[in-house]
Amino acid sequence: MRKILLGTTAVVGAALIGSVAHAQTAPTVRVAGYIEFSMGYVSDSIDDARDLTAVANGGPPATGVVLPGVGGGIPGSTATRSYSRDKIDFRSDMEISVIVGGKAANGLEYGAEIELQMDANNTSATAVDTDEMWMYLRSPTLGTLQMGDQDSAADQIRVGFGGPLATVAGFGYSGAWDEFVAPNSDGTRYLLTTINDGSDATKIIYLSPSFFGFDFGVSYAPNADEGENFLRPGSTTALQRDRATIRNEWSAGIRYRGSFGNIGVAASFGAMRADAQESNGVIAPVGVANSNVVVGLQDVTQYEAAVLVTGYGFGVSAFYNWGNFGGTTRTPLRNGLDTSTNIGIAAGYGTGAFSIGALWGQSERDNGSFLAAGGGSAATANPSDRKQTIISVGVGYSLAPGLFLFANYTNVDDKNISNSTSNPTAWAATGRSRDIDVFVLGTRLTF
Amino acid sequence: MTRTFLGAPLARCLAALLILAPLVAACSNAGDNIRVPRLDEYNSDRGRSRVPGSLISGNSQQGILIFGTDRSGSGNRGAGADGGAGIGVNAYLWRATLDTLSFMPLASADPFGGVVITDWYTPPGVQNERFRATALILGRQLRSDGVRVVVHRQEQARGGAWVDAPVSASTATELEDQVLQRARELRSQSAALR
Repeated sequence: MRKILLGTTAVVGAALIGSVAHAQTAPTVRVAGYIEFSMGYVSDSIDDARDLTAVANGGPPATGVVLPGVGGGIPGSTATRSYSRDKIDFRSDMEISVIVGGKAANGLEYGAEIELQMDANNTSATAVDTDEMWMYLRSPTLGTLQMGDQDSAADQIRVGFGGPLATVAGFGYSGAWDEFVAPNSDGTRYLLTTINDGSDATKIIYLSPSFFGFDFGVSYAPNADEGENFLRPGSTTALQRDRATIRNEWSAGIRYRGSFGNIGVAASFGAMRADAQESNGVIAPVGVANSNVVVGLQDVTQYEAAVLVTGYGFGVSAFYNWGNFGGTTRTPLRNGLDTSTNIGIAAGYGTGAFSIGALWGQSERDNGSFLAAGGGSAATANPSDRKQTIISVGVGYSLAPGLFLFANYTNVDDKNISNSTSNPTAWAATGRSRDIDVFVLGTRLTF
Repeated sequence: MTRTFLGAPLARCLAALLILAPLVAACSNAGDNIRVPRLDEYNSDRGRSRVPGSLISGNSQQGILIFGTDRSGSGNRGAGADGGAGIGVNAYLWRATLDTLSFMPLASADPFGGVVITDWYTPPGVQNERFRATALILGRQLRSDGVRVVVHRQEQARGGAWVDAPVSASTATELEDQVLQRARELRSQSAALR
């Protein structure tokens, strides 16, 4: 009986991972790339919004009025501008990819991809740097192993925009609009993001075979930076070994892709976690536990569910993510701050070379509680959570294979009367609410 | 008694396994149910993934080959919109043309040049009339003017010889419409799977 059972199991196993003859393929090297040119018109209320009292009350600042200073905020400061700096800017961006690929006689595919970029929004506005650079081994039965500076498993597995959604509404929730917007006080231009991509920290990634539409991936990065255990990027003194960033970052995702009639359905769930660094020097608010001492940081977590439905030229996509993360990606929250969230819904339609779409999204970050130094009256001026709401519509036209024209409009409503991220006993010097309108017109070329 | 009690479920399990084994094997042989996804099936934030196609290749394969030999057919790794492996014309139009004209016997089909030529076909119930069609697929793009169908018609004379006869102009147009309709269905099905 056991022999029969084992034999049957072997038949099933052989059916699943049976050997297939493969033809060896000599390696090939390709060079691919893209360049984008776009024009943006931005109307941003950031300059009008210095008067914290006025902003808190929902009114505009008074020109030239000396502000009283609110709870240790900006005493004596004035509304520096009575006009907004609306602007038109041009932007260019490019990526060059070197793609290597081959296949061994046993069917094992191997290769690498090195992506060079020149992004004017980076500090290296005139220099080329690497974005992703990774190599891979792809078994015909066991899945794919990627090694290098590549997006995390949860980001690769996640269900993103598909069909007509791929090319409209700014190409994503933090798409083209943010490139033209001045950074906020914390350095972010946007908050609304899907699950973080691991910021290209050097990692290993396993991506499973697909079983009846289901597949999964897992990745691990020892530290938050690209490269080995040496200096941190952009620093000549900060060593990675000093653990000034998150460590032991695990990321995983599972997805389903299938179709029911002419309707394509895809869904994913992703999760990540990482150990926070020991401290970033944050001082605890007065009046709470551990006041006036350096507070710890919460380990980073993020979870996301996403779904995409396509059919008859239409596409609808939605996601929701939550966890203990700050800013846009993987910044640890200090102890005492609540969970951050992002939610987004997008819809689009494509016919022929033309596509149109729209999206709505909202993100929330806990600004913590505000207490003036020594406690006191300012306690009534606690900041509310930062809430950024985005509405965007866009159109795209594929002029030729590899040549794409696009235009989109985005409104960003950023409610953020915040305290200082490094000293919760003070208002953020530049934290403010903003209302931004961005029009972008551009073209992309790929080869 | 006990052995019988235990043996029955075991036998059932074994029978189930024996039934399932070929099913699983059939499923795995079906190809897409158990497979390793291609690298382009994962989410990517690279700029060129946001633009369909390539200005150089004219299809979905991006990149200029600078070393080695391209053995990926026409280079298409996507859903076949610009031509499948080994096909020189639009794959949807090609497949739709074959589907549409399949009620007639095929005499010749050239996937590189995009030419389908049928043999003579006599509709059921008609004795002295026969048709032949030639379809030309004109390019890699799925366009409404991407396919042209020419229909030939012959009638049998009294002596038994076949002589050419005029064809209604709408016949070819209707066949072209059928091809385009089928191509649209195929593309819709493919898009649904993305």
